Amino acid sequence: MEREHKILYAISFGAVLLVLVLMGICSLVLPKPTESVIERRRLAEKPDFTAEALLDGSYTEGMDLYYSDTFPGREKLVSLASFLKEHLGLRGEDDTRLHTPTTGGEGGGAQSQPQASSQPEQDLPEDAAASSSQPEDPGAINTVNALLINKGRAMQVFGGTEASAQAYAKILNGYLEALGDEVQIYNLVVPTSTEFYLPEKYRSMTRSESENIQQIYAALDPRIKTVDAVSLLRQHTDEYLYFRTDHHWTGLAAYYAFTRFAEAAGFEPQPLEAFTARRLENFLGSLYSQTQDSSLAENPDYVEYYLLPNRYEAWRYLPDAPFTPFATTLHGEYAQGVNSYSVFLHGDFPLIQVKTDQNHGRKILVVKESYGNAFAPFLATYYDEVHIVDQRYFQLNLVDYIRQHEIHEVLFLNNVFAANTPYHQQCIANLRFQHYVPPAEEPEEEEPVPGQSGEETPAGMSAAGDQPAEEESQPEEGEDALEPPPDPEEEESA
Amino acid sequence: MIFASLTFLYLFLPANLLFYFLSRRQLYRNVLLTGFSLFFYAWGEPVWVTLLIFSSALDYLNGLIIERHRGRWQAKFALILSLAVNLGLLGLFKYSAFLYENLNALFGLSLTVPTFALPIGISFYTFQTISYTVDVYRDQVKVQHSFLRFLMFVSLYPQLVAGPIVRYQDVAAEIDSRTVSARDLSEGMGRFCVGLFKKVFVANIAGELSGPFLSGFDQLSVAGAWFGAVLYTLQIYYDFSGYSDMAIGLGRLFGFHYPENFNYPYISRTATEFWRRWHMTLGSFFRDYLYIPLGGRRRHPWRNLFLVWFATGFWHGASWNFVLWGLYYGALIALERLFLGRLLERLPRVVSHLYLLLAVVVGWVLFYFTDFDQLREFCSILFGFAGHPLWDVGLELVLLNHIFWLAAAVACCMPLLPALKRWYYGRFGTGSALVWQTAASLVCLALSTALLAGQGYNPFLYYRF
Repeated sequence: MEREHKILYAISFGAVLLVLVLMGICSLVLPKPTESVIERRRLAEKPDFTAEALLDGSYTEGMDLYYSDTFPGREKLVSLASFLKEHLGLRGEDDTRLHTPTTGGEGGGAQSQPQASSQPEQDLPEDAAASSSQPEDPGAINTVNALLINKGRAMQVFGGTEASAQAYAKILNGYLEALGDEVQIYNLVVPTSTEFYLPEKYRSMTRSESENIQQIYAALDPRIKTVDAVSLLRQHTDEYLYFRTDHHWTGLAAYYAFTRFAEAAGFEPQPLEAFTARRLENFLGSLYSQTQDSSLAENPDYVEYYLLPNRYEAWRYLPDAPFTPFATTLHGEYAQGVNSYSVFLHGDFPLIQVKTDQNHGRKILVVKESYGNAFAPFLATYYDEVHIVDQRYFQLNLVDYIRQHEIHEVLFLNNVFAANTPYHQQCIANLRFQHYVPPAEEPEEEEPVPGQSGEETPAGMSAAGDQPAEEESQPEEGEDALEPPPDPEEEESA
Repeated sequence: MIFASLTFLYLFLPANLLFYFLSRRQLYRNVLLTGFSLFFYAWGEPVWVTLLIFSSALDYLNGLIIERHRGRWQAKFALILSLAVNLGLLGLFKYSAFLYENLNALFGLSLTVPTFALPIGISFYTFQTISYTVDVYRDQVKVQHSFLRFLMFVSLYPQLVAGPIVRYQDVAAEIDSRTVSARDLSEGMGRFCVGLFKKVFVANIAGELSGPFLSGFDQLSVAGAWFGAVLYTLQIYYDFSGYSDMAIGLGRLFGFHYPENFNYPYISRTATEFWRRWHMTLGSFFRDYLYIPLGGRRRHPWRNLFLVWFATGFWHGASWNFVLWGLYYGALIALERLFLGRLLERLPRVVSHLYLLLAVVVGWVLFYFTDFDQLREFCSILFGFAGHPLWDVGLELVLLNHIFWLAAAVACCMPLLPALKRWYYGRFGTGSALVWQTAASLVCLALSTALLAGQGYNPFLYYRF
């Protein structure tokens, strides 16, 4: 009897040890991934061994992070963890769940700990256009405290204050001086789905986005024309204005905002019927990645985008190469999966220039974060030239650029979270003062950006030719010709 | 290195176990265990591992001196040297910044505040070496003549950084010669997995949930404040007792039987009982090495009580709130000794349980806020003086979303699982029970791994002490 138990005891210990050993071997032998698609970030890399790094503890810390980031089956394990956290309780009759971001959890005492670098950043750029040389986005967490998931829709809890609203307005007012009277400045701050879809019961958990937008508009110099998207969007809340699983707005909401902008700018917008609508199905966006909530997965989004009725040609610029244009289009129709929103403008680029077949003698420059991507294409239906600047990645001096290109209209477009986030505010403020310094090392112009670069000259586009390109002449969605050629860098890393 | 990390679980631990069991001789095993322990410590504390070795060497020599010169002044000198150096190091690294800040504040000075980083586990290992020299001086344990073995005692990674506080006499026999039975291995591993699960699944989640309720007070409701305090109460128990479980379990894998550190403290009925069940090795340390030498209950009992609880509080951190927390317990225990204990004895059990739980939750609030302004503000909300609403929907949602987890976490503060286990062993026999235990260990391990995988950042709460 005792002997039999002894064997059982040994087996019981051996089983656990075996799992530890096998997983350990796997973790050493299996190839290490370098990026996580679902989290849209590069995984931690193996730290360099130096004596200093060893002594100050950063080497071992880096090793821990590298090991856990590249642990075999990590994505499956993270999904399991999300499943587990989702099922710790009930969701109530109104099917609601509060998802608080993992903060490390235990800033014992009143010390607050820095956000783990393994967190998916809230406002991570859609593409790898943000190369590792780009600044991180640490400020985004200041305004995003939690997510509320209600009946298959995830909404961000808004924490912007009157002080942060005024800080944003002040920066924009600064541009009045810098640009002088010849330039008309517009400002459009876009609410998120929280403003319209958060059930009344939970209103007290978030600050009001529309109030915050009003505070911004009130603090702006009256010479800046403000665009009120909130009231128009509120009239259309039974339409598909926001993704349920992603933090962006839809092309339709952007169109409504565009009509309001056209009013402010004094022109007649093209009716929506004039555009060719197309759709990308099965979109589970950033808020799903963050929560992996099953009610979101059951009900995926689609991305509807609108091909322009008129002809245009466009060029985009990569980070660290502000003088090297690549011909592009306004829609990257190959976008899919978690990156479907990058169908708009192919994602975030420092600068996109558009020349259209319009002849109204007007040019516009738009300063935006990713909310502007769905909006900016509509501008190309009226303006002769549209210059689309991403406030996070643009490296030239904005005031010089506006003067050089003789632009007389500038639109600042931000979602209300970005407008209240110190990081974005800082980016916008810097655009006025920064000067481009070429990187010391070999310029990366020839190196395509992973993820979306191969697509420099889509079928139907003559590269930087004189002929205006015709979007309609592009092959139909889903045809092989649309597949971007394989990306050399991706192949290397695979 | 910390136990609740993938690096430890899947690289360090299996490597350590395999090498340990492949080497058959005691000497090799001791060398191996010491080497792995120093590596473990150096992983988190690459510089101050030298301090650990220095402290061990010093007390090893002090032990030898005391033995050779027993009864003479040299022995006394070695004892005083040991106390002075160990407490001096603790004071230097842990309390000097605190002292300077207070001197500056008190006398309006502007002394430069030293910025030592607290070496991990220094509060624990200095107490362990002190207990050794004192016990040798008192002739209660035999001197260790092998430096390797003594270094192994001090540096043993299972209990090095966060207890239990293992006295030399607890493991003296096992340091010299130990055997590991199959039962030790099986139960040790099971204990480790349960401890890991307590830490990762309960303590970490409680920490995440409590965050919003313990900061940003403008929107906090009264119930929210209480909920935050209760979550912290759960967090600190599961965190610390989970760590002790892991330590005790790992110890058994190598043939060491460490003293228990927690015995379901939240089922206590008085503060006196609570401290016999909470962090038991610390309580008994202060009893044997401070309270009784001071005279215990025979001479100056109130002074002794005050000193012990001042020291207990202060040991937990260099901040006045920890002192306050210690004295708070001292006061409760004094009251219980005077009349409260007898009174509670006569009242229905439910009253004494509620009394203790309330006392403990309020105690953890004192413990949590190192900033007195925050403490005052939080307490005014907690006790309804701040005019905040009683209830809020955010709390309702968090409660509902975590109701199963919460119920299980509260239930497991009571000795339900051991009772279930005893019943099952009795009813179905060891064989069947072991199958379940193994399955439970693997599930705990898998879920803990999943929760750890997405979390690059996982500091251990007790590293501050």
